[in-house]
Amino acid sequence: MKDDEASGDEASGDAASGETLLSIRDLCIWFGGGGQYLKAVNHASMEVGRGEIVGLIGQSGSGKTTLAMALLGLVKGYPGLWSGTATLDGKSLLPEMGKLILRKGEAVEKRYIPFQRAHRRQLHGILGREIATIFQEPKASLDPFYTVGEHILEALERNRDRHAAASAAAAGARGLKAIGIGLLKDVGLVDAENLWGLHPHEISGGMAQRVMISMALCAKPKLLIADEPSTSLDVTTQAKLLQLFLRLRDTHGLSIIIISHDIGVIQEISSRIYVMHRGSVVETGASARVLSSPKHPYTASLLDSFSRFGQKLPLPPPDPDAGAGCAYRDMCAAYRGVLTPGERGRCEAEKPMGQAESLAAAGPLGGKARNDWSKCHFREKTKIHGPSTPSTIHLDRLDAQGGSRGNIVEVRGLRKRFSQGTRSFLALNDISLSIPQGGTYGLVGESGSGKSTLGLSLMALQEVDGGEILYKGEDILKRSKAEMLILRREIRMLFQHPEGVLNSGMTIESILAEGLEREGNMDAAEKKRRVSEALEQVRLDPSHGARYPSNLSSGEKQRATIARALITKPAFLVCDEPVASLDLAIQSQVMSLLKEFQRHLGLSYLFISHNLALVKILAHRIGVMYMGYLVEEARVEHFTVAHVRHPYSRLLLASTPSLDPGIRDVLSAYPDVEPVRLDGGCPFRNRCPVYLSQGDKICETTMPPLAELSPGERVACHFPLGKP
Amino acid sequence: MRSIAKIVGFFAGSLLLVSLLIFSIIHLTPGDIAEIHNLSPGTAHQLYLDRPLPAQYFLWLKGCLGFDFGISMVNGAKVSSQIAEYAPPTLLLTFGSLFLSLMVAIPLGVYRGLRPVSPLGKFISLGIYTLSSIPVFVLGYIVLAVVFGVFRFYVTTPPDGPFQFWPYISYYSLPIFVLAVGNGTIGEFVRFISLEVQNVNSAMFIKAARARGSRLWKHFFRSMVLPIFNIIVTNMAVLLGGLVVVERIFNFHGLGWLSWEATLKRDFSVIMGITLVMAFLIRVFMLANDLLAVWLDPRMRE
Amino acid sequence: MRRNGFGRYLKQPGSYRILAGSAIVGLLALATLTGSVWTHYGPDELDLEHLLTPPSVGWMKKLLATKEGLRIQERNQAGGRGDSHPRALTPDDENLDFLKADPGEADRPPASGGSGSVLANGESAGGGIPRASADSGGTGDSSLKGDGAGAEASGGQGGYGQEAKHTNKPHLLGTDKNGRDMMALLIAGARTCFLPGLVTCAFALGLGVPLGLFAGYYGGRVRKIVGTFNSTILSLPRLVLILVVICALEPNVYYTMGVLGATLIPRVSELIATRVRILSNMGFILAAKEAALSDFKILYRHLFWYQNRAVFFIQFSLIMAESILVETTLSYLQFGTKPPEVSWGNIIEGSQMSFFSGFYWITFFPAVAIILAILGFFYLGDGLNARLAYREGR
Repeated sequence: MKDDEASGDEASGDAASGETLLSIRDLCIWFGGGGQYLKAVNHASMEVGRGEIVGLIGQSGSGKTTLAMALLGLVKGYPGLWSGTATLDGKSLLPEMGKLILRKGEAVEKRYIPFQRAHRRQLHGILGREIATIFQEPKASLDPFYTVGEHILEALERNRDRHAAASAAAAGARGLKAIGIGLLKDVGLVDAENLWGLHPHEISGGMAQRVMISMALCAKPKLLIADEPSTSLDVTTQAKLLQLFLRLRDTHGLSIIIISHDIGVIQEISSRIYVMHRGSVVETGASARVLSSPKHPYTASLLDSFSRFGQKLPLPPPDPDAGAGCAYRDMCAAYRGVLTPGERGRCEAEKPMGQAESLAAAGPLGGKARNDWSKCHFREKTKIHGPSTPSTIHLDRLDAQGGSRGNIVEVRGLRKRFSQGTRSFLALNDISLSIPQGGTYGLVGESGSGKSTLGLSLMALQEVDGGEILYKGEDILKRSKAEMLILRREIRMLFQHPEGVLNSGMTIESILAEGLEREGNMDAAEKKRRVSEALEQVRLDPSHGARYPSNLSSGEKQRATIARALITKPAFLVCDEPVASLDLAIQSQVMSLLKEFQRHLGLSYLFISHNLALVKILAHRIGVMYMGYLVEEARVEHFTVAHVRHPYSRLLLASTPSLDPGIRDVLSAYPDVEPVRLDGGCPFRNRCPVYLSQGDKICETTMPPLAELSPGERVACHFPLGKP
Repeated sequence: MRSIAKIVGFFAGSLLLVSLLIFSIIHLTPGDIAEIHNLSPGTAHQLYLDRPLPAQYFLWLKGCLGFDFGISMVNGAKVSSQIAEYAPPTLLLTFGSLFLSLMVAIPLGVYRGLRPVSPLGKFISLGIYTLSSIPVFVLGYIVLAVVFGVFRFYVTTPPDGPFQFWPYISYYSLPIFVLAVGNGTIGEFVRFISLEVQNVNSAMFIKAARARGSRLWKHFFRSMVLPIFNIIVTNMAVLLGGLVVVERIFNFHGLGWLSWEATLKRDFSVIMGITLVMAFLIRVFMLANDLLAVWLDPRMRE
Repeated sequence: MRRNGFGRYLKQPGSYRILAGSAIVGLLALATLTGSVWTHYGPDELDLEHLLTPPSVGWMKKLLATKEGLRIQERNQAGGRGDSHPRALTPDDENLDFLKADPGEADRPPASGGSGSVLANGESAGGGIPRASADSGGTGDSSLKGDGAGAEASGGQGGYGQEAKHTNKPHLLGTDKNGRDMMALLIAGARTCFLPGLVTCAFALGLGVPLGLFAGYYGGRVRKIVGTFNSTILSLPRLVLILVVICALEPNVYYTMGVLGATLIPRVSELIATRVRILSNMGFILAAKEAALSDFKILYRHLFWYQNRAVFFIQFSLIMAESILVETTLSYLQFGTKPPEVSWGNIIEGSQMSFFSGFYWITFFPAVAIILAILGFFYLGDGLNARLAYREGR
C-alpha cells in the first residue's frame, strides 16, 4: 500500500501534465460481504491534472462508472473492501484503511466496519464543493417537486462563501437569484428568467443537464465528473453540451473526467484517455495517440468496432485474470502477425505488468509510464497494434435510382395527429416515401420526430388519419383483418428492447414457434426444424432454444428476436432502433447479420435510428425527419456534411461524434436553441442559420414542399444549401 | 383549475354511485322490508316504502343530503340523531388509532426502508408480518387477558361529564391500541412506507443531491408526504371496518357497535345511514388526497 | 438448466417464508383430511361426563393457565373420580359462579390500590370481565344467555349434538362447556374455513384477473370503467359492506364470502393492470400483435399465463389468509357460521368468559389455530411475492 505523502510528492514533481489534481493509485474495490467478494475495480491508477479533460472509456461493465462513483460513495450497495489510495489536491478521499489481508490477490479478511461512515466524513466538504458530479439521466437528477430556481438557490446557499457577492451579509434571496440567473446564462440557458420558475418535468433533457452543470458551478469546484452526460440526449444537444464542457475548462479552469462508452464523445473533448476493461485500466495516453495508434489489442478492437462498423470482430476475453499469459492474445493482431515466436512465447506464458508495477519499475518519477502506458509486453514497439485502416463499407448497393427491381413499400401522404388533452400535434405530416425491393431505407431524426410512429404505421400497429401504404402495390390499410394476419408473416419488425419481445416466461423455442401458428397445421418435427433453422441463421446454437430469455446475453437476446422475425420468412423488416440498447461490439455483430440477410435472403429494411453512423452502414437511401415532416431524402453516398441540402440534415451530420475533427466548425453557425413545435411555416426555422441570417417571410408562412432537386434527392426547404 | 373541478366532480359522482349501490343491495334483494319488521302502514309511509323504488331512492337521497336518514325500523328513533350520538367516540377512536399507528409505523418504516437487510430491519419485517396476521378479535382477547391478568380490572363504561385524564385514557387506550396494531394497519403502513423510502432512496435525484452534498431530508420529506397520505387514505376503509369488531370486543358504544346491533336487528335504515356516513368520510379523505396531490405535485397540475 | 441445490434455494429471498408457510398450510390440510386420527370424538358428540375438561397433555395444563384456573384444576383433580380424567365440572361448583347470569357481583377481583382509587367513581370499575353488553337487551349476546353452562348441565344439549357413546377415551385438548372435544372442534373448524376461502378466491380472482387484464390491455375507456368500479368498492369499508349484505339477506357464509371476494376485486385488478401496463410500455403488446397473435392468445397466454401466473398464486394465498380472517371474524360477530356448525370464530365467541377464569383452552386453541392458519397463508404468499420480485430483478 502506498503512502499518501509519497504519492503527493510524486504528483507534484511531474511536470509533464501540469499540476496533478486527482491522483488514484492502485485502487481495488470489492463488492459483497460475508466472505463473497466481487472485484469491480482491479488495481486501477489514474491522474487528472488541473484544467485537464480526461476521458474514461470502456464498454458497459468495464468498471468505469464504479471507479468514479464508488470513490464518491455514490454507488448502490457500498463496496465491502477497498485497497489503494485516492487524493484530491493532496487530501485523501478515502479514510485511513484498516488492515487488509490479501491472499493470492484475493481479499480474505473483512476490514473494520465503520469504513462507510468514515468515508462519508472524509468526503464531507469535498462532495459538491471540490468535486461536482453530473449523471446520465439529467431530468431524473432534478427533484420533481422543486423548481429550477429552488435547486440553484439550494446549491448557492450551501456555497455562499464561494461567491464574493453573496458572502456579503446584505445579499438576500434576491442577490442569490441574480447570481443564479447569471450562472444559468453562463451555461447557455439564455431564457434563464423564465426557466427559474419551471419544474423539471417542464424542461427538456438538454436543458436539465445544463441546469445540473450550473448547479455544479455554484460551488466553483475543481473537478467535474461527468458520467455519460450526453448518452440520453439527442446528437445535436450532445454536440452543444460537449462544446460547453470545453468552454468551461477554459473559462473556469475546471478539470473534467468524462466517462463514456462513446469514443466519439471522448475524443471530441478529452486530452487524455484511460481505457478500461473488466475493472482494470488497459491503456492510457494522450487521446490523439491512443486513438491513432493504440498500444493494446482491446483499445484497437474498440476503435475497430467504432470505425469499421458492421464487421465481425473478435470479442474481448470475459476474465482477463484467468489462465496463463496475456488474455487478450486471441484478439491481438500483433500476436497473430508481427511478433516473433519468442515474443509470442512470452505472451503465452506471462501476464503483462499492471499499472502499479509498471510505475514502480519505471523508477521514482514514474516517467513516461504514467502518461503513456498499456498493459502489454511490447508497448514500446510502436504501431504494433494500430487500428485496421478504415475499410470502405462494401455493400451490394443498388443502382442510383434504387428502383430497378421496383419498390416493395410505397407510402403516400401518410398523416397522423396525436392529441394530449387540449393540445395536439402532427406526428406524421403528409409523408411520402418508397422503399426499394431488397434495399434499405434509413430513417433518421431526433427523438419526437415521428420516425417510430411511421414504423408502427407501416406495420399497421398504429392507426393513421389518412394516406395509403402500398405493400407490393396493395394498400395495407384497406386489407381485411384476415388478410392482414397473413401479411404479418411477410412484414416483420425488430424492436429496440428484446425484453419486450421475448416473454420471460417462455423458452426461446416456444417464442419462435408462435410465429408458425398462422401457417396452418404443422407437425412437431417440422416446427422444430424451422426453429433450429431460424436459430442457425442468426448464429445461435439450436440448443439455445430450450433456454429462457433471462439466460441469454443481451446480444443473444437481440439475435433471438431476429430469429423470431425470420422464422416466418418475411420479405420486409421494419427495424426500430434494433441495436440502440447494445454494446458497441455487439451492435457490430447484429449489424453484420442484418447486412448478410439482405444479401442472401433479399430482405428489404426500413431502418430507423437516431444514430447516423449506423444508418449509413446499412441504408441505400436516407430520409431525415423533423417534427413529423420528412425534410430531406438522399442517397447514402450523398448523405455527408458537404452534400446534404437541408440545414437540419447538415446539423445532424455535424453533430454526430466522429473520429474526423474539423466537422464541428459547421456547428458554430447554428444557434443554441431547443427544438420547439412551431405553428405554420417551416418547422425548423428557429434553429435554421439561413432563416436567422436572412429572415425571409416565406419561411414563416409556408411549409416548403418536398421538391425533387435531382434524381433520388428530395428536399423540403425554400433555400436549400448549395452544392459545394 | 380544470383538474380541481374534475376531482370534485369525481367525488360527487362516486358518492352517488356508492349510495346507489347501498340502496340496491338493501332494496333489490328478496324479502319485503315492511313484512320483516311488521311495520304499520304509517311507519312504512314515513319510510317511503309505499312508493315505487326510484322514488324511494330519490326521496332517501334527498333526505341524506340534508343529513336525514329516516327513522329506525326497530324503535322508530331518528337515525341521524343516533349517528350523531355514536359518532364522536368512534371518530376519537379512529383518529387516535390512526395517529398511534403512524407514530409507530413511520420510524419503523423509514428504518426498514433505509436498511432493509440489517438484522433489525429483518426483525421489523418478521414482526409486522406476524402482527398483521392476528385477527382483531383474537388480539383483543390477548390484550384483555394481559391487562386483566396484570391490573385485575378493566373499565367498560364510557366516561361521563368533563374531561378527566385517567377515565378517558383507560376507556380509550385499549380499543385504540387494538385497532391500530391488529387489523394489519401498522403492518401495512410499515411495509408501504419502507417500500416508498427505498424507492426515493434509490431515485436519481437523491443520488444527485448526495453528490452535491446537500441536505437530503428536505428532498426525502417532500417526496414522502404524498405517499404517506395516500396510504392513510387507502387504509381508512380497513380501519373503519375494524371498528365493528373492536367496538364489539370492548363493548365500546360507537358507530361500529351501532352497525353491529343494527345488523342483528336487521334495522335497514340505520345500517344504510351508517354505511353512507362512513363512505362519505372515506371519500372526503380521498378528495383531500387528490387535492393535496394537485397542490404539492407540479406534475399533476396539468 | 439451473442447478438447484437446497442451499442455493434457501439463499433466494423469501424461501424461509415459503417453507414456513407451506409447512403450516400442509399441516392444516393434513389435519383436515385425517381428522379421525387425532381424536376419538366427532364435533357433534357431547361427552356430558366431561364438561370443561382440561387438556390431557400435561405440559399444556401449565401453559398459560391463570392462577385461578390452576386452582380449579388442582381441586378438580384432587376430587376426581377416574385416573384418566379430572372430574367433570357441575354447575354446583362454586367456581362456575361466574358463568351465572349475574356479572355484577361475580368474583370481583381486588382492584390494586392506586389505579383502583382513580376509578372509584366509575361504578363498573369492577365487573372484572368486559361485560357483554348488558344494555343491548340481550339481542344476541352469547355466553350469558340461557343456553349457558347452567342450562346445559341440567340436561339440555342445546342442539349441539348427541351424547357420546364412549366417554372413556382421553380428550387431547380438553372439552368445552357442552362436552364437545376441542380437537374435533378444531378439525371441523379447519374444514369450515377452507371452503369459504375458495369461494372468495373464485370471486376475487375470477373477476379481478380478467378485469385487470382488460383494463391494462385495452386501456382508455375500459380502464376508466374498471377504475370507477374499483373506486366505488374501495370507498366502502369491507366489513361494513358485508354487514349491509347480511342485513339484506339471510346470514349465509357463502354470500358473505362472495361479497368479500367482490371487495378484493379492486386489489387484484389494479395489481394486474399495473403489471400489464408496465409490460406494454416495454413494447410487449406491440410485439405480440406484430406476431399476428389473436387478442385472446395475447391476453391469456402472454399476459396471464406466462407473466402473471405467479401473481395469481400469490394472490390466491393472500386471499385465503384474508378470507379465513374475515370468516372467523364474522363467526365471532355471530353473522358467519352459526352453531351447531363449528367455526374457529364461533368457538371463541361461545367461550368468551372462560378465558378469564381458568378454562383457557377453549379460547386458546382456536385462537392459535386462527393465527397459524392466517400466518401460514400469509407467509406463503409473501414469500412467493419476494421470490417473484427477486426473479424479476426488482
